[in-house]
Amino acid sequence: MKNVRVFYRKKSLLKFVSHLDMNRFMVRMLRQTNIPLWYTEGFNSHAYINFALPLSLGFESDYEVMDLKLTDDNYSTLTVTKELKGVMPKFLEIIKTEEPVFKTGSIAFAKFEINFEDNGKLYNSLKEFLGSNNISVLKKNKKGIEKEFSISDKINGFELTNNGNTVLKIILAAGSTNNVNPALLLTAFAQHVKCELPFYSVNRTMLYTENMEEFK
Amino acid sequence: MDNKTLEKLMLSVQKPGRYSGGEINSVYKNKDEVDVRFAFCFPDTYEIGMSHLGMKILYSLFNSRNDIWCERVFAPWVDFEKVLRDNNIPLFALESRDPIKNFDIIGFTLQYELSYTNVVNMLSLAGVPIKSADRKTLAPLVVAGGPCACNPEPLADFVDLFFLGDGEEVDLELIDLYKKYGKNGDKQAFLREAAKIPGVYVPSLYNVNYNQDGTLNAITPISDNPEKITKRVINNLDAAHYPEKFVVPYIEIVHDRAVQEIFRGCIRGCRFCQAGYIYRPVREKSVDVINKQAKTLCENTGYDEMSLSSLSTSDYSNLEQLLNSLLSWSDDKKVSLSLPSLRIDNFSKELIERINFIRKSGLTFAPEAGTQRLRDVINKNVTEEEIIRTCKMAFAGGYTSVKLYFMLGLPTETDEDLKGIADLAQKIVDEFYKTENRPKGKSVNVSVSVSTFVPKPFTPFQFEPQITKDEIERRQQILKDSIKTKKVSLSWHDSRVSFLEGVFARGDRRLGDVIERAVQLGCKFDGWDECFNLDLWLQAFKDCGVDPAFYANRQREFTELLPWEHLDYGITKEFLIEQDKLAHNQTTTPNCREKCSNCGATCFKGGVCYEKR
Repeated sequence: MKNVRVFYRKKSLLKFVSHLDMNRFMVRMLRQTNIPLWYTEGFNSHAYINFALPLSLGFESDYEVMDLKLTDDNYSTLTVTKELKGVMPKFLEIIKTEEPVFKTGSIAFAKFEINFEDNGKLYNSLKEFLGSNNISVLKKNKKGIEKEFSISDKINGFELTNNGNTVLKIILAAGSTNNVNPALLLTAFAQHVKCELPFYSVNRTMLYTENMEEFK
Repeated sequence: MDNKTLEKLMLSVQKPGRYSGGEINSVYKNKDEVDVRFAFCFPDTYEIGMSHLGMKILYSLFNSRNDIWCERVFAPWVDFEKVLRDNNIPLFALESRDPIKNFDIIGFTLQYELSYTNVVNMLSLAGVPIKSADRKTLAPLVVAGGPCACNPEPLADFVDLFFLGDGEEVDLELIDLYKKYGKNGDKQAFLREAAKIPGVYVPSLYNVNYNQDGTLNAITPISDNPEKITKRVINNLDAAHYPEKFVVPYIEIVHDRAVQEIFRGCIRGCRFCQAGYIYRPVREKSVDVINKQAKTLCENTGYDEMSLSSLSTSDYSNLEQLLNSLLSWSDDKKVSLSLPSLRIDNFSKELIERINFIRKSGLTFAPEAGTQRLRDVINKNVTEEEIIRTCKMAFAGGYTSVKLYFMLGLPTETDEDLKGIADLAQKIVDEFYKTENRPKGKSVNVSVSVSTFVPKPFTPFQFEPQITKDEIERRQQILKDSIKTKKVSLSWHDSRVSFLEGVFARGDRRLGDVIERAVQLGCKFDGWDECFNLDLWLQAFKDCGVDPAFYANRQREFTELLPWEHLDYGITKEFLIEQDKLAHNQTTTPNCREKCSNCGATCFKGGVCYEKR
């Protein structure tokens, strides 16, 4: 058995496809190829796939990661890429396939690019907001109890530009234990400036490990 | 409306994947390179419409021609409808996102009466005049087909023409005629010529007169269009178009699997079942064709489940051979077969084990009636022994739940028949405890689901009254009281919804005003609990001076002219009268393979009528 990691972009229309739907969709695409997928051996046998980090509905991404298991050890990663490219829709671009370097659990940060349609109006207040070191938001836990959730300590650098519209590039804690969804950060911001946010689009551009190495 | 603005709006509603388009195998063409743009509309949500096989067949067939681009349109859910209306966005097709009001043809499939308000509401959302008479130009031509087109009269004001029967041939003939006239052709001249195509019904070319008592007096053609319109039938299903690929949705739909049609029609003739009559005669596909089509479909979609589609899988004449040939590749490809409505008691154990007949839905029976007497009345040949025998097998195999479907309010039903439902459920419970190798330490659950009988056109019960709301409730109470154990759980359909279905199933043209009024009042998605509002409907009936009980609860004389009698589905009225009489005598009718009962369907010159018996 051979583990391979597929890197791809999820753009445009595909932002309407939720994580759960993506799972089902990927299996169907894989089944249209000749890739020798490994099937689980349980009572309900199914093709094994695993996504490194779920992506919220409505977000695009330039760096999505999906792990597969192949039954043929000699099947090349290049062929996996080629087979997948043959079936994927326009807005799902396969970047490459490699043998995994890190465990999916080692993802610690994600980089997002957020484009506001604000004519640059948010630039100053956002800069001031992100500069403070006590950003927090009330967040419901699984039991439904609201708790103060600190965000400041989960921001690992940002870059704010104004090219007519405000653009925020920000690195946030990500992964199964310590995750910050940019939507949550922006909720905190909206509460802070006490106004409704204009439309914004979110693109996840990279995943990193604890040591800020690109996740491979 | 540019795509970016539209996509922003989509993000503000539930399940934006319903409206995004761009799915695998969806068809994109250059609009300047086609002659006819066809908006195929399913008047319900994406998840329901995308599960419908007829739409997949016609979408694929139309798009196989270079001069036609067929796109899909579904009824937007109420949240997205609000977005569309608030932003003045006319209803658009999923593929091109162009407004369907600019299309050549807008086609609806009519699968159930409760979708009629959605048909009208979709026209209104499209920004097209809802009434045929108010659309002066040929485009967009509004057409409709599907089972409910067998009595299309309630929609006669809105739809320019209806297709009767199988659509594969007649739809293309109509499109070719449209091409001859073109977008700017004379609509009246076009409709008169279209009415001469067999299987095309143009309601505006027929005058309808009524008697003093409200019944029909006459339905007469206004010019040289035919007095009777006969449905179309594809006799050779092997040669008929079948999609090599389905559009594979991103979001989960109701039937999210590959579907392979194995035959049309049904040999059984259950007397309440409209599909059993309007699709006659039974026409089968051959094992080789089914096998080849099914395999191609799985390869092109990536589906890991395939179901066989027909009205009664067990009646396929060569089922064992078919299953063996499908299983010869499906295991390898990790495709599981599911067979709806299958009788399992005459199969080998090995075969049963290899088929996914039980895993997904559990064990299900549709005895429809609680006593053998009433089952004879409705000609439903499921016997108690068969049910018990199959349950015994299943219990021994480790299953602990059984689902039973019944109808309430069937003709001649007595309180004894209702108690029979409870008795049958009890016997299954008892059978569980008699089974020696039943699952240990587990309880059994028999769930009884009861719907209300709705008399339908072209069935022997088309003359029968539907029981009133008060009577439905009385009978439901009797049933409730006769179930004595918690191991039997009882559920039923909303009787108010069945009542509305009953009105429209046998309605006439005078209901057009009621539908229009109901849509004005906000009625839509009437098949959905969260949207259905009987009070609004009763308001609409009152405003239009129409008594719904006249349509639902009235016994029709055999001599009465029924609103669909100018439509010819092969089945003769004499046959239906005879069958209704036999029903009241509790006499069953043999199925089409045992003996021909002269229903009239031999006129189509094919199918089971010409098989060797």
